Amino acid sequence: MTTEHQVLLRGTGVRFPCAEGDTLLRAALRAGVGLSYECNSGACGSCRYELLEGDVRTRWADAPGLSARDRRKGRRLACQSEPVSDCVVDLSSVPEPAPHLPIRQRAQLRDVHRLTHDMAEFVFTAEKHAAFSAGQYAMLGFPSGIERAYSMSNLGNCQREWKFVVKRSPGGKATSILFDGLDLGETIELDGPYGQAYYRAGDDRDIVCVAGGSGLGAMASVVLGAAAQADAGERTVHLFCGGRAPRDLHIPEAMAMAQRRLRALHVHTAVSEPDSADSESHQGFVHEAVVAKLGETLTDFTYYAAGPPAMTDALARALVLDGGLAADRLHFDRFS
Amino acid sequence: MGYVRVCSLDDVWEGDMESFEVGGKEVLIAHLDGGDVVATQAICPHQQVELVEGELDKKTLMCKSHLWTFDLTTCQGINPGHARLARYPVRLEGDDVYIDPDGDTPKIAHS
Repeated sequence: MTTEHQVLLRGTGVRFPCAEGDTLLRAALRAGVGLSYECNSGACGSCRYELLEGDVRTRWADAPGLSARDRRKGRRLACQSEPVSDCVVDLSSVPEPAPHLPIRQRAQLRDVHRLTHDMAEFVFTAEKHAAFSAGQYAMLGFPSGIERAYSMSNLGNCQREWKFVVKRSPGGKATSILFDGLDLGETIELDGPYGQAYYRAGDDRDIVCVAGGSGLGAMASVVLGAAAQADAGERTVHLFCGGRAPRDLHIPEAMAMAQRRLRALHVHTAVSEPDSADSESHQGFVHEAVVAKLGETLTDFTYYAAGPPAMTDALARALVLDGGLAADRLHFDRFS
Repeated sequence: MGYVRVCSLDDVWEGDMESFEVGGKEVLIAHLDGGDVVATQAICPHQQVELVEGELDKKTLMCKSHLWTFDLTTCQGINPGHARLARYPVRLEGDDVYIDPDGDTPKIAHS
């Protein structure tokens, strides 16, 4: 029997249990309490709160999601706080019901597909379910205690199958375990789903998906999400993929299936390394390719994006500040 | 509660902004180009982000996180247009800035 602590959100009457060792944010979401958050990794700062009563253990004290001003004012990150007693916290807003309830489960590595020189798709079968929305991510926990967020590249399904596109990061501990240290049949801990940049099926606008690096997985999932709608034949999707050079680019096979269901799927590629473009790719950054291709029609779409923070930031500035896109029509989870 | 002294204009020069706690509320004082002083909520209505860490360009305030922008002369959203900021009444006495923290309540947006 694990110890549980009760967390009360001041001024709301909302109360939820938090298992010893779990974080405030995850415990809230597991109970259906929709705290605001994006990265669940200490970087974005969207889950700031104030602790009024009780004690918490802080996982990552120097998490960049808190500014010097936040620290001076005693703010904390719900994603880095593990309650060790009953707590009363102040969020200064009333949470909405969480649309997804993350759970922890074991997951077995079933297959690995090499996609490029440094990207691969890892296929896991989980013990309980694979219920998630297109574009979300899960936290993968490895035996050494390392945990990282990776986006799913498939759709929620009844086969308990979770697929992840991962890019090997030089010197990265987690990706070296995935690429070199994990054999087929071995199990890891999977905690999810998480993420707010999921596909909104109720939005009738045509969509643009912008992927950099391993953000490809999340964007492939969103394209599949659009193609799975009953009215997919009425929907047009643009998929932009960026990399440094052509060898970084990969268009998933499943896109061909999506193309048949959608009214149209336009795939565009961009490469940023000077003079590296082949005849099919835009020479430059992927956000520049988006602006160049869509031009005057830029504000007609809803956008989804995933990739390195420098890419998503540049895209947000180009679309929202320069392009005049409504700020709430661009969906991405900030990991910076 | 009525009007409460928050700061002096020496603390917030023209073109600058600063956040303060007034009567249990976090308030942003912005001193716009031209001399107008605006008191609004310190936290973005979108998420728990300090607006003072964003950018003030003439009368436009931009949150650093999702680039939401607001017209501080009206405290209405520019982008997205449905967003709103609280607007607390301001009174200047010499260089002293007084505001009424009960004159409005912080707004929260959902998107």
